[in-house]
Amino acid sequence: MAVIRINDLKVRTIIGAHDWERVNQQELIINMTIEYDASKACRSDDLKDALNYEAVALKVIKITRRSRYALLERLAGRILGSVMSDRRVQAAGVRIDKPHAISQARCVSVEVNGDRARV
Amino acid sequence: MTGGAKRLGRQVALHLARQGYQIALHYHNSKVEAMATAAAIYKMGVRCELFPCDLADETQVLKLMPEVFQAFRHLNILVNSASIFIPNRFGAGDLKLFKTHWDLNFKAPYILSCEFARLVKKGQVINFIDTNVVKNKTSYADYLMTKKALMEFTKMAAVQWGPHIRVNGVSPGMILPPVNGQPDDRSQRAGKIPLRKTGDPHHILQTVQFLLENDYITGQIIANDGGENLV
Repeated sequence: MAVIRINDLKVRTIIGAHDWERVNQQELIINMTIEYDASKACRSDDLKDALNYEAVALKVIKITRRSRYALLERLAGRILGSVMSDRRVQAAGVRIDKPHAISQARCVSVEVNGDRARV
Repeated sequence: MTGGAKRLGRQVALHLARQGYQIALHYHNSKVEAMATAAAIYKMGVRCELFPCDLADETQVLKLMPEVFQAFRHLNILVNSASIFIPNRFGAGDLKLFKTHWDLNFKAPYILSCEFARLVKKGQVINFIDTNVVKNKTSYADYLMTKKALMEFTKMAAVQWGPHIRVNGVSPGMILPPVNGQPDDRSQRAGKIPLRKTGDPHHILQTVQFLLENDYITGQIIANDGGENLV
């Protein structure tokens, strides 16, 4: 099993329940872990056999930019669902940091996890 | 608007917001103050988005203007207000302070202005300089060098980017109390300048307003200092 980690992916979008959050985009920082069976890719050195993390990241950026959710939980769940829709993915975790949720805190985070074995 | 979280930068951001300008507010360490400034702007019903960025980090600075432009397609003003000023005298013993001054006070506004001119079809850059740039005091040697360079850049950029982009500077004098625990000797110093008084943020806002409205001015540095630069 291989673990892909996408660290500190920064995306601006509309997110939040406050009035000002409905008209002002803010930066979110997304961290993900994706577990998949990479044994074939380890042998072949062929991108076709690997989980293309660049494509995953671009999809996550697209989903996030287009989203207009009130809750981080909803966005994190949406991203997790997208990642898990690739049948090769065995487990994944998505953590979203919202730096401007609370001024005195560095950020507020919501994390969701999925594990195909537990479904 | 760089350095818009507090002090004069905040005043300028609020002034522009009052006139309905949407604000892209940069901050680095002053998150609490930046969010407070943004909250004050939201109360006016004006859009304000926060852009955290370490202006001493070239990689981050290069990304900043394209990010802002993506969010604000009708970008038309760049205010370079962020700066540091730490007392020192020339000496090669510790170049860290030299580098930080140049990165933050000159390189960052240079990069942001160049990116602004590249992305924006018509607009204006306002650089915050310092009334002491016409003098040669050495108590803030590295700081003053960077501001002198920014003054010359303001003039040269005005030549290169006209007619579509105007580039001007504002040189504040004794407007706000000093930071970094420096003693506030403004009232004592004010007695030695032609207008015999300290200034107020509204003087700076009047100058900014004048520069915004007068489209026949470029490459000028307006000293807002009660005549301090003359003596």
